[in-house]
Amino acid sequence: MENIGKTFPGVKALDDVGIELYGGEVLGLVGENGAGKSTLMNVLNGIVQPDEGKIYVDGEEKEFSSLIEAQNSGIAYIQQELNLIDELSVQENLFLGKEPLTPFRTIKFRELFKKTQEVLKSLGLNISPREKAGNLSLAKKQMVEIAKALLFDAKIIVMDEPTSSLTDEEINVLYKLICRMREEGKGIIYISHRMEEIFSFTDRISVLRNGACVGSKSTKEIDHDGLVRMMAGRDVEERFFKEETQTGPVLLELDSIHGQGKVEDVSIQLRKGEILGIGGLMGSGRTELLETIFGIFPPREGRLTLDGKPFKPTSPYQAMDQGIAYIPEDRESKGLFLDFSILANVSLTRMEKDKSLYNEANHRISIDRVSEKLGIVAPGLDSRVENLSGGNRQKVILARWIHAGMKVLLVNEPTRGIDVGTKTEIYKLLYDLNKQGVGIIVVSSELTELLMISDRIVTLYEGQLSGEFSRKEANKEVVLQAMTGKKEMVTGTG
Amino acid sequence: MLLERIRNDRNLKVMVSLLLMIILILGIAGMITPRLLQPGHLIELARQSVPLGITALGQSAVILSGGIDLSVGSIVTMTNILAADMIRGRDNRTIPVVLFLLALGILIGGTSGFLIAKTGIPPMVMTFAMSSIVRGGDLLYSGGAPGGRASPMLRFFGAGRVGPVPVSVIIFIILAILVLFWFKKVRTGRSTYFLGNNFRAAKYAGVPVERRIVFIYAFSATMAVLSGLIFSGYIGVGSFEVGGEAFMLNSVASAVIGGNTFLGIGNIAGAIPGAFIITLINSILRSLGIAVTGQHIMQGVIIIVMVVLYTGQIGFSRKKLKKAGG
Repeated sequence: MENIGKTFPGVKALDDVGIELYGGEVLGLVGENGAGKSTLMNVLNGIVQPDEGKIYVDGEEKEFSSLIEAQNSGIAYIQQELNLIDELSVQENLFLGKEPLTPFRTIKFRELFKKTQEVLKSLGLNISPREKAGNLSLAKKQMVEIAKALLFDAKIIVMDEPTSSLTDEEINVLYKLICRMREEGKGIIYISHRMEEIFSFTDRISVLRNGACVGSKSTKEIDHDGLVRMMAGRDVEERFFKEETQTGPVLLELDSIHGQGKVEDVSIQLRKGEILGIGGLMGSGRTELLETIFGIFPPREGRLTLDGKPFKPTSPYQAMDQGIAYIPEDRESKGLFLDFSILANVSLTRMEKDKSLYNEANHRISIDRVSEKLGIVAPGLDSRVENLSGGNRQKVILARWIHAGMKVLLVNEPTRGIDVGTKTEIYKLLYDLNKQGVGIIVVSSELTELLMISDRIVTLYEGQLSGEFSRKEANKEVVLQAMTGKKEMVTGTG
Repeated sequence: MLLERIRNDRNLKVMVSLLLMIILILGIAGMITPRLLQPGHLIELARQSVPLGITALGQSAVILSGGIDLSVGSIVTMTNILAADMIRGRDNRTIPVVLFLLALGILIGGTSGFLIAKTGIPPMVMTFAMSSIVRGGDLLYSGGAPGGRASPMLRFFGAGRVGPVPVSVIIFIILAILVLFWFKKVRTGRSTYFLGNNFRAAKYAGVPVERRIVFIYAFSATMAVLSGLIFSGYIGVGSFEVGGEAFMLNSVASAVIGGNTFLGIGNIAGAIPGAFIITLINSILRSLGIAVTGQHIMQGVIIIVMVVLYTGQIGFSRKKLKKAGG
């Protein structure tokens, strides 16, 4: 790709970007949120047309006006949000739009089945071709997407954050797969925020910053700190531990709460100015616990106390009104109104809380201040949230709650899909809220993050508490052990 | 610069398109029969569009919230039949009956909204069923032969004039100002747009979504009742010709022409020019002696043209602006 340029209204997304990819190589593409990685890949795949620049495949100039055209030239794009249709079977998903047809234009299901089975077997996947895609785990869905790329003999495979929802074991399987594809002479573009993966998976790394390519280096020539510096254009304090703080009185207390799904008999205390981390595997009930406190699924049994008074969450509206705030793990579907402005997205909750007439001018003044403090990068408060990067979107939701005011903040995956620089900013914002007396409960799959920001950690296993650790006691091994169910109750500070 | 603003601000684009469309239709009509453009006739057109305009405001709110209200036509019919039969020409009965009908409307719409919010039944199915129930109730009540007539007071609201201005137009202007204010400034109205754009996110942002759905359908039904009252005052008797399915479809058409989408994108105000355009076309075609079939065809064409204009594929599209040096 040569001199690619693309401008969106108000934003220059790509400026004279050039990258090269050779057969039999894994190219890591890194950069902060909003650096232009996704836009560049959308250009390569014909989803977005560039304003300037050229694309060459095997030395031949190409112009893609749609995803299909790019696919026909041997480019496969595995997007961060997977594109499988849950209601269709694996085989139907694989051949969607390219089904082998009989002379009567009906689908040759037998051939579909056979070919799907072959490709799944070659990947070492134990999935029935007739299984509905919706029944597969995220990891298996990811593998099916890769199978799709192999099936149509893609020469170039683009993977955008493929591991954001995979377990370590699944990542290993993916790694072997990538190695095999590399040996077969395919070119792979690998996008990830996870530095360990970038270093262990790739041969070469290209770095984007603010829509420009700031350099390509062989993976061996660069170290972690150097790469982070290249991405951010400055030194980044990546490990940003929370200072020991004096926590206040108990703010929120759960007394043997039985909630939605598996959540059973959970008792925890949250103090003013404290960050309580909740560790747990996927399906351990960690999201359900937060959503129980927020009133999405009112508790079946048990008592809650907020600020010394009994508190019974019956709906998010009521929880919000009492001063509980929730930042969901799925920003787009549970958090944002993508077609609306930042102003509309942020002002909504405050409007509901105030129960008075909506006064746009007042909201604007106050949101302007919050937005500046959070460092939301956008042309203005009237810009649509759809045009913002992941980090900025997360800040918009945080701004919403700061604008509305809160006593307790529940955060589910505070930094999923967010780059190193912005992560640090988010941690800092959480610490600031702490200082103002807000109690924060954080759920995170990233153990390093949990250990770094929490004053105290409790673990959930199968919906029940399986451990509690003070900052001093907590380390990767013991927390992980508790998360995976090896009961070793350590008496913590609470 | 102005073109640039119109391209980027969807609501502005919709309003400009609607204005141009009205001017275009009036221009064509004026060329065929100049007397259509006389002030007296334009006021008459405004009066004709009032009942549809009121219903379209309610329908737009429902559509913006991501639903649809197929029951408004039956509610208009019901209002007309009940109003005529219960008032029977007596002024002293008018206000109690009006209050009763408004309460009935809130009950009907509120029930639809409650069931939609609580059971997850799709709005299209719920309001269709409700429409059927109301229609059956009408037939049961009137025995198929509606009777009674409007009182002088109701006739004043529906057909009276203050100077040259019809009373119903004045009522509509006051009502429209209240509704627009409500949907811009008051949280129960303003949150409608958020429900339509992302229902789940609205819930997670602390909007009491279930109560709002009840409110929106009750609002739509109330508007249909008001519309039926104005109709009754103008026609003076109860009739199955008032309201009905065609009227309901016209309310949907008005909302859509007014730039309102099922995703909360749009502005409830668009319903007003939307209803005016529908009334205008039908009136012009009728005066040209073109039958209902022609009106349907024309209406369909206009819906397509307007919505294509809003989605920006033609008209103010990027490519054209680029060529023009924008």
